[in-house]
Amino acid sequence: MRITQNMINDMARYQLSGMNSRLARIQEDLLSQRRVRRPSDDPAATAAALGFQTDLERIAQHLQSIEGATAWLNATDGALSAVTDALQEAREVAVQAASGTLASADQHTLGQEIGHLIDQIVAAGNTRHGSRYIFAGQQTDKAPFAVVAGGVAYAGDSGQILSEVDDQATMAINVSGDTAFPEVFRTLTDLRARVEAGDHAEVSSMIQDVDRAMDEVLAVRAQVGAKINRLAGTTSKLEAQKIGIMELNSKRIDTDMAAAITDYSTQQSVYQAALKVSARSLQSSLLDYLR
Amino acid sequence: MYSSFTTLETARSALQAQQQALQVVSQNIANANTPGFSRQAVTMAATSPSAAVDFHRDPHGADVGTGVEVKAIQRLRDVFLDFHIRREMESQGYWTTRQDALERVETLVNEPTDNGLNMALARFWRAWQAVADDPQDAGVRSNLIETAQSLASQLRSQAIGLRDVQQYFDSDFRGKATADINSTAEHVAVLNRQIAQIEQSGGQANNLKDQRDSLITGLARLVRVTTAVAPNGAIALFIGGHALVEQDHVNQISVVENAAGRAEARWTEDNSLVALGGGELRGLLDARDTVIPEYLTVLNQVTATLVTEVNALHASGFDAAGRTGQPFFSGADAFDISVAPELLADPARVATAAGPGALGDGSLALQIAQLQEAHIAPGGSASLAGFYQAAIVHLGTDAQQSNVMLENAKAMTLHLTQRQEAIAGVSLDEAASDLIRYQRAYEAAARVVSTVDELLDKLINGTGIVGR
Repeated sequence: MRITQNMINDMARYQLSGMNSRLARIQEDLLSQRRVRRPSDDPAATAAALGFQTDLERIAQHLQSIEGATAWLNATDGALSAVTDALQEAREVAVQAASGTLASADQHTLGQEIGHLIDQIVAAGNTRHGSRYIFAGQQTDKAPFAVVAGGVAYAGDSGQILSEVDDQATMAINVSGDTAFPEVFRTLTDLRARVEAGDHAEVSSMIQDVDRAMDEVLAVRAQVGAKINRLAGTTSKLEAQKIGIMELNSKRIDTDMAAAITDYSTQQSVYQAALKVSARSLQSSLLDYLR
Repeated sequence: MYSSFTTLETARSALQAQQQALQVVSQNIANANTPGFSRQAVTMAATSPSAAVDFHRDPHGADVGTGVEVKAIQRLRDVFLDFHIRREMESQGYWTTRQDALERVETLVNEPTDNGLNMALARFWRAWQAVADDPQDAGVRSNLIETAQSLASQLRSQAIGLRDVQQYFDSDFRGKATADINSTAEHVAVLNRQIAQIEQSGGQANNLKDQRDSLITGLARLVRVTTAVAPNGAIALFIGGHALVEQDHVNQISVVENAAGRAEARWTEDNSLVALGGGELRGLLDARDTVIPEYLTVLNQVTATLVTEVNALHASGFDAAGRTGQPFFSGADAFDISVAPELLADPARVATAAGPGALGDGSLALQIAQLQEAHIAPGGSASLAGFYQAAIVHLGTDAQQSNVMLENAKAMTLHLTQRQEAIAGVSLDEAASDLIRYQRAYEAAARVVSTVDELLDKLINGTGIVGR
């Protein structure tokens, strides 16, 4: 095939331009540390990357919800612990009052003690987490318990506070005040009346009612404890998931720096060699050798 | 028997021919770098012996020639290669434009980064989740409003950006479809006339033909043209079967606006639509009417679904003051979506509860947050994010394909132009050796002239003077 200077020029230009593009691309990979900067760089990797992005955001979301839920549950557990302590004291008072060896003035004092214990439990029932009453069901802006004539009134509802702590998994994080508490208040109010009245036999038989109330509270505490554990487990799982996804993501869309740097120096030497060769071949012609 | 001056005549014809040849070589060298130039070569032929000489021809001898003439100045070019080159130019024109369009869309889309719509959507759902976890917290509610506003403004700016790119391609189309095509056509028509005139009177319009070929190749990059060569050397050009140039007559193209305000190319004479087959113009039309609208539709669908679903749930919910029936978003598509102005003015109006009178109820907010995973996208089998992500991947594959096709077209064009260069290109080495060849022939012919001169001098001035 006949060869002209223009053919050599054009071919040299085309090849050198191609090498320049490759060099520029590797440089961009190195500077941005990203191999996939646009969907067309690698559509499959882009699909994966976008998926990972939403996954990571959702995991962060769940972790945040878990944090809030755990704090709420811990506050619940603390309040219930105070309730248990108060019930324990009430039991001791009941035992004392049932002995039948006390004067009526002392009966009255014991009755008053139970009164104080009721107030303590009311205070525990009105615990707030942040600005919300934790035992009020969904009426979290109003204190749920108040002492009224004849007992304790509950102003909350039985609504659940739901939190999404994992994919498609919601947890009711609250204990509404119409669980366990009514039994406690009823028992203690009754007990107080009996103690004041000096009714030893009744007081004696009510000790098992106090025990039953304590058991109920313990049962609720066990549930709360189980939820706290479950959340801790979910947290570990999500943290591990997060790391796994971040690694996968990096593998697919970040630049492999070592490979890229090697690539860059190789391309550079190739480019230099091409430049040298072009310089030689573009210059000579027959006219150099004619007189 | 032949005249004493026959040899002189022969030598004279040689001088002329070699000089002409030198002129042609010089033309080649001068145009070595002219794009589209086809090198020219002289065809020399021995002149036929004259009749008078024939009459007295020696029956036992050979014909004595009468010299040389330049029979023709050939234009060396492969017409078939031109045809193939034009096809590749057309392909290059199309894919360059299409690739440009897709690159612009990719830039606007800005994925996969932390600043694309994918992230903005994810953040939006996350903000609802935070509200569900603490519906009474004012800070968490304002964060939701801000995140929603940010999402809305990103949707709007992408929609507007896409529309702007559409306008850009539209105006590019208007310019190229008329000015460029019509002026090239006029040019070709003029050249047709000139070439026909020259060739009819026996000349060779090599340089004009080069010009005409360049123009047609340039036109091929813009649009698919078919050519037909007329017997008088004129080339007729057709676009979509309709004549653009016939001999020296041009059918102009003008641009009119269709019902949607977009430019269309129509033949001025009968207002019929120009069938644009390939090239840049086809690329511009496809970019404007297919590539960009495809992606705009995705944006609008995502927006419409988002607005409809979120608003439906939000309207069924109650805010802290017991108000219900409020929309969360205003607007209907990606161009006008925004957070409802009442909510912007008063974030307390965000509905979080499923029923009135329960401030701790965040279940409605939770339902909205759970829209993230619901299959609410058009088609009913994907979430919004899934739908959007699929569109992005499609965009990526489309753009990747354009890049590949463009590279192929470029490589093919280079290959074909190289082959044409091999035939039509000027080789300076060849030209240099031609120079020597014709120069030496010229010198030798001149030598013949001096030799004959001396002979004649001897004959005329040196004979018949004995004894003088």
